[in-house]
Amino acid sequence: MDCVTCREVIQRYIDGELDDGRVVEFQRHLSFCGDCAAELQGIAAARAVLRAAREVTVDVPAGFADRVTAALEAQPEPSALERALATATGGVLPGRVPRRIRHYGYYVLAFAAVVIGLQRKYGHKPGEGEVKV
Amino acid sequence: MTPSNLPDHTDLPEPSPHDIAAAAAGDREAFRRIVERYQGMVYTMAYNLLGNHVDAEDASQEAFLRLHQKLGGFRGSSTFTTWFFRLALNAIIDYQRRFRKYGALPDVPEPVADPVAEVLRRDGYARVMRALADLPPDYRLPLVLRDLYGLRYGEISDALDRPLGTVKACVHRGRTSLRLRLQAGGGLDEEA
Ligand SMILES: [Zn+2]
Repeated sequence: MDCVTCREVIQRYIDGELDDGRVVEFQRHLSFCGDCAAELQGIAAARAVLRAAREVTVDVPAGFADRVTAALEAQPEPSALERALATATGGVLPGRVPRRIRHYGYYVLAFAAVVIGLQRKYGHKPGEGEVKV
Repeated sequence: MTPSNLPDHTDLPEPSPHDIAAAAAGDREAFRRIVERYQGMVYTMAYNLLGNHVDAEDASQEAFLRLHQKLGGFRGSSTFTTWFFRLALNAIIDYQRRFRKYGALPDVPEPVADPVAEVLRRDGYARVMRALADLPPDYRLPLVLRDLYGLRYGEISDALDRPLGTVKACVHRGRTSLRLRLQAGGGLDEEA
């Protein structure tokens, strides 16, 4: 195995995805190539560091639980249409829509209004084509 | 999508079936106890995945609001923590997907040999988190899911709705990028 091939398979080795024959070739190359050995060591260390980071908890900003509770309180009981829209937008109910998608929410509402308008205009029978909840 | 070794950032017991049922039925105090029990896990997950506190706060709130909606659907076939971990992870990934388009993959500079372990021993976790936050989201998300939370490549591919080969390439490049940032200082600000 040469250095180019070694660098190509180094991550698959780390992931345990190399078959046994390739592992032997890979390890043989590392036994005499310090550069590739250092590369493996560095990448494996970065991975080990992330694994260790599992144990770390980031400090939650003060008042977080209060803000969640307030957001919940701010939610009215969702109407049938709002539940349908929440499903369409990935489960976000009105009341605590992150600020950057509020406009997107308006587009969805406008689109829904147009769809409903078209349904009325083109005379669906009552009960047909309505959003099931 | 159940990591082999679920991080649990508190010694508190899981909420009781009674607490879960009460919260699902609209008991705000019971729900708040669940928020307090899991806010560390969810906020850390969001911060690790999104790389900044503004998005971590918004995404964490969404995760808890989604929990409130879905709480009634918890059937106890797994532990509550496992079930909620998956729900929160999906909420955070959905959040990321709404705001960030995946772009072309950035180039990774040629690696230079240097041991990372020494850097970490010296500077610790804060530096790791800054380096992680500095990665492009295309790399950071798959990398965190793979190497921090231990998900399989197939699970990550499903969760992010990206092809398996792309996910692997992103994890590989993410590891290399992270390592380079750690060893070079990565333009990180040293904090007092
Ligand atoms: Zn070599």
